[in-house]
Amino acid sequence: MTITPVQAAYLGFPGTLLFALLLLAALVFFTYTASRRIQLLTLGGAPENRLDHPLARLWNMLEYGFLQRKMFRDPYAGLYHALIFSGFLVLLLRTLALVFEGLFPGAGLPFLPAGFWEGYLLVKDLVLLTTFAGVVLALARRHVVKRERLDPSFDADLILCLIGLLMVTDLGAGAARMALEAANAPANAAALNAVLAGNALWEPLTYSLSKNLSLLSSSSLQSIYFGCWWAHIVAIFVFGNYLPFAKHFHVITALPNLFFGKLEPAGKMATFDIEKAAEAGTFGVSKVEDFTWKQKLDMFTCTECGRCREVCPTHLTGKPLTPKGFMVDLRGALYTDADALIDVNAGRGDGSAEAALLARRPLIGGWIDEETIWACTTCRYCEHACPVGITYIDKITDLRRHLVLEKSEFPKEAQTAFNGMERQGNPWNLSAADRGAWAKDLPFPVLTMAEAGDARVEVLFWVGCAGSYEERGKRVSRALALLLHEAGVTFAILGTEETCTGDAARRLGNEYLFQTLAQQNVETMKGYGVTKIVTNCPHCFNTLANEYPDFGGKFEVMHGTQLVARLVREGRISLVNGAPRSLSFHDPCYLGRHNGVYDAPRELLNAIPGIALKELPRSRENGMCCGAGGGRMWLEEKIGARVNQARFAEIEANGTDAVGVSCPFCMVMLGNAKTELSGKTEAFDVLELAAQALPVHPG
Amino acid sequence: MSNVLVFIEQRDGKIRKSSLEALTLGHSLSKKTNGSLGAVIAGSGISSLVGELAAYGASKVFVADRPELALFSSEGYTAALDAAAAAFGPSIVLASATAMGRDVAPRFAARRGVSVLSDMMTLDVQNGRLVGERPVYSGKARVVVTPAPDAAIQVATPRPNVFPASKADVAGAGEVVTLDLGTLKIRAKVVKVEAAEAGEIDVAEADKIVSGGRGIKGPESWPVLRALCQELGAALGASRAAVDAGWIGHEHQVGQTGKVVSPSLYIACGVSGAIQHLAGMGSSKVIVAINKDPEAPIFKVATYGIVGDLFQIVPAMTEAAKKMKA
Amino acid sequence: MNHIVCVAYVPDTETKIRIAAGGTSIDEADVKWIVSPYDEYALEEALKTREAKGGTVTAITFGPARADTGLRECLARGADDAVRVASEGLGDVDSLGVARLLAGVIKALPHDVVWMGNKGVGTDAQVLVPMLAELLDLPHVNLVTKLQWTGTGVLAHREIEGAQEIVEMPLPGVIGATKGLNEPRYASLKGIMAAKKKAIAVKTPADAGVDPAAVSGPAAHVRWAKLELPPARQAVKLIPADDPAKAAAELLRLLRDEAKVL
Repeated sequence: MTITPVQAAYLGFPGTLLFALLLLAALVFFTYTASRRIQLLTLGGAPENRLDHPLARLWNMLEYGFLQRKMFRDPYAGLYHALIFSGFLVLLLRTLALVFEGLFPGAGLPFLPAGFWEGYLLVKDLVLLTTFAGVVLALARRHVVKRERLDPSFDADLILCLIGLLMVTDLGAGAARMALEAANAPANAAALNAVLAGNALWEPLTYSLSKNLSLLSSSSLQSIYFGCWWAHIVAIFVFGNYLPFAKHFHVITALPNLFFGKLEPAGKMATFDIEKAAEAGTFGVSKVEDFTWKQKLDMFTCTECGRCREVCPTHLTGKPLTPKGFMVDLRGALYTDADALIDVNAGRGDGSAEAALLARRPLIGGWIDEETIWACTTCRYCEHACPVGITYIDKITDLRRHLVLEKSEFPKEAQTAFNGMERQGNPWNLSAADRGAWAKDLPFPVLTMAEAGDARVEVLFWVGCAGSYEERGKRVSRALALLLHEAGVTFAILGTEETCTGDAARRLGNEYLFQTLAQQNVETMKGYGVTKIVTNCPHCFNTLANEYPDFGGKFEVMHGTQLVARLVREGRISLVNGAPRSLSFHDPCYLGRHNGVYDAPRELLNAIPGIALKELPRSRENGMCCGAGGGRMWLEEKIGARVNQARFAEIEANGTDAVGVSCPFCMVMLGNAKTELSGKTEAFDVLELAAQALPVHPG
Repeated sequence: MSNVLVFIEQRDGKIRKSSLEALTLGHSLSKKTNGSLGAVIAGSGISSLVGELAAYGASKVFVADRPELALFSSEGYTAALDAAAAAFGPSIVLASATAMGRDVAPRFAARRGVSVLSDMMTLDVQNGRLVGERPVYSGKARVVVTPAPDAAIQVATPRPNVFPASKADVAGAGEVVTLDLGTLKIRAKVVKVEAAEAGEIDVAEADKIVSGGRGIKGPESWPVLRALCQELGAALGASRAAVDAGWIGHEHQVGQTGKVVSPSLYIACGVSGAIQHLAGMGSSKVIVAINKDPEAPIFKVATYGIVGDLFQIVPAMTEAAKKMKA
Repeated sequence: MNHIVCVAYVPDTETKIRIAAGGTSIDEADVKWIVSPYDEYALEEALKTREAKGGTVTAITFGPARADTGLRECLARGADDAVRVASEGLGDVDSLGVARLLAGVIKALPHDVVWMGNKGVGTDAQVLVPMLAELLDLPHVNLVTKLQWTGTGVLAHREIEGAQEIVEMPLPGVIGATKGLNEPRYASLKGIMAAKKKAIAVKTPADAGVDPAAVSGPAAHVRWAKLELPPARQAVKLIPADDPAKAAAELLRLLRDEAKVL
């Protein structure tokens, strides 16, 4: 008769008891760790409701968690990760069965339907192999077919080896047991054959290994069986308890992190109540515990896979910020002082925890350099890339909010832009009275809402600062006006009543200035009963569409390319003129990744005669930033290479006659890069190209 | 009949040209009011300057010549003006709107309980009352100002370099009156005068700026611009493009993310005039654009423009400025 | 050390100036008001000095109720107190009148240093620093671009034409700040919110010991007869460049004789 490992005694100590003690220790330790992590997660920070729209949340978890949608963008990594992930899902039951067997030797899992277990064993056998293959492939990615995004990690190697060990010990224990059962079987050949045939059928891998082991003596087989079994059990307990301490915490937190992920529009920053914040006396985040629980869950979840930094413009140009490094540093700040934070929060201890917190390494300037905080262009590539739903921009801007609102410490050139927005409603501080001047040279009058009076206005043309003041931007504004006029769309502008939307102020952390501008603009537009808005600035577009609703401004907002593409589709505009030219298209971050508008500019370009669109290697979701977003347009870029030049070099390499853009700031940045690098690819706004293709009307 | 008294500023034993302008103006005003022209001068060892003042028409020259007045002090120099006014009984007092004139005239006016017609671009006298124009709202408007009819004394500071300086057809008597100022109460005083550093003027503080952009082609061209700076007493500026190219330090950068300046003269050489540059210098009083490209946006904001090769024009300007000085 | 900073609340330098009916004042509709940039240098230096040496900073202005916004800005940046000398009902007041009103109120406050910008960018005539000093019987140093504190006073660098004067001044005294002295700070939101809670003391001419009739209207010593806009900005005057030497000479002549900037 074959006995199971827990049925044996070890130095007189019953195996079941030993197992029970091990299990208890593992559970106690895990519970302790988990409760500490939960305490850490929930202490401090503003409350945040992430339970709304549960179905949408479940769907996100299914799509990005169970179906691993983002993982396959890197097919190799997607494959091995899927192998390991599916292995975990399958072997969860196996582990449960092992625990049951350990506690109740000889009994099977009680709740399984008849015949299920055999089928499960077959899957399990397969999965042991595939998971092991996944581990090998993963190790190969780390050491042979490397990627820049992955940094050497002992932790990763350790965990992978541990997973490999789990597979090997599971297989080893099973095979040795099978061989032992065969050896110990009674001389009843028929019964033995039936068992063997069953083994061969349901656990073919284990069976074939057991055949190879059958030459060994019974005692050797029993040693292997017991050794592997206990090793497997210990490995599981160690594995489970090690997870919360390292980057592999994602095994536990990734699915919840996806469930609790951001459902609001990607480009919307959180609005906070300034009066309330003033009562509390703090603005933004200066201490790691002040991040919300979800933001801390992000820190727990980062797996350091580095997908976030592959197209990160700051990383590519040699600046100190990488999203991965940022997240790891935040986590470092959180974990390093975890004990003191928990003790202080619980009101425990003798004051030493308070003292420790006072003396701790500061978050800003200690863990995260100010240069890092100001480097981000908020292009959102990192958030698009992250497979586990981590957001970065919110954390960067929370830190900026603290620096600006509480400390008034920021790159001094931002002050010029802040003053300009505050005083003249534009970051250049050009006279507010000149805001509508761009429209003067048009062959038809462009009315302001005030001038339009009771006349029906279909759509408000929100011109934006660049479209109002910057030479090239003004040309593009005239192009859009021309296109709307051609289509017979009645539109009006706000003229001197329009001010900056505050996008850059908000992203530079100046929430107060942003809210002042937002309230003012919403009030102006509501005063005119505005319902539809078209704008050619993606930053205005994002702010108007996604952020103004928080201030009572709910409008239907269209980007210029969206509206004009529709007018072309509806036959209200015909684009007839054009010479053959090849064109790259540079996706603006705030139109693309922040708002998912990729097709409208392309649809419009394809409708222009002669244009042959040649996509850039990094385009659409993977488009690289021009360097202007996140308020960077208004700051000096002193560290590393210039983002606009890096992007322009990619565009030049695409070898097209010109590059299409759909954002006035991309236009400025790429235009500057062309001058700086003496390049040849000139930038045109898609609307300029469309306006040039309009039929020429005599007179 | 009303007398005109002009405060004369000397430095290193030389009368400032701006004071001669004020004196010339005072002479013409005194002729209109049929009054006589007085001048007051303070310093140490300055008696030799009287003759020049007479040549500009001063009939009386009040001299406060004391060692403790060798260097400027607003209290000491105001005391001299005050004593001269007491002795001369002018109804009009002029001082050029220089740093010194703007210090002394308001102190004197406040002492006499009147205000100042300050920084005058034009100045005339009608029915015995001064009238003239001065800029307000940082030059965006001009106002015609005049003192109250009952003003016992009218104080004005004409702007330098606006009024001509010319000797009188008939020299004044130049009668020297030595002022006895008694014990002077001087608390704030100049202890040292440092000539403007031979080196470079800080672009943020400069009243004139010569600025270079990408059109200067490379850092080897700065001497061309610097020579002009030297002649004009201007600071050297640069566009962001030139700074980013590494041709010059960021401290020279004018624009949105550099220094925001509003000098009275801004000469942009090979600067295209991108908006980030215009945001930093658009409020300059006079803008000169020198650029090869007639389409460059800088011409849209410029007062004067030359479409041409800066490497020919800038050296020619340096030469012309030298000639003008001579 | 007690610092008094006089600030003017003036139209933003980028604001479009329009002449009001009557032709002697500006149309105040749509005007964006700011603390005069030169007074910002004064405030900044006072705040920096207080941070280094302790004391209090009091911002003071003369103007209508809207100027309270300017004072709040000063409080937001860190001033401890704010005083407004109310201009309501006074009519036109000239520089001397403003100086008398300010001096009257300042006399009643403890003051070691009285600060202000060397000029406003509104209507002021760049005469307030010496006038205030005279009325307070204090020494002054104007056009200060650099300041050092000595045991008993200050050593100031004063910018004059083509040179710098180093001025020694004992305290109490009046200091006129100009561009280059420092880079003014940006008010934090924390400061802005704290400033909202602070009271602004409003003083009347009587509080300043000044008879309103003596400083305004017919008693003002300088009258505005007419306000006008300069001719609209003309299109660029292009100088032909065929002969560089001639073009250069012509340009310099225009700069000297027409633009009057040389």
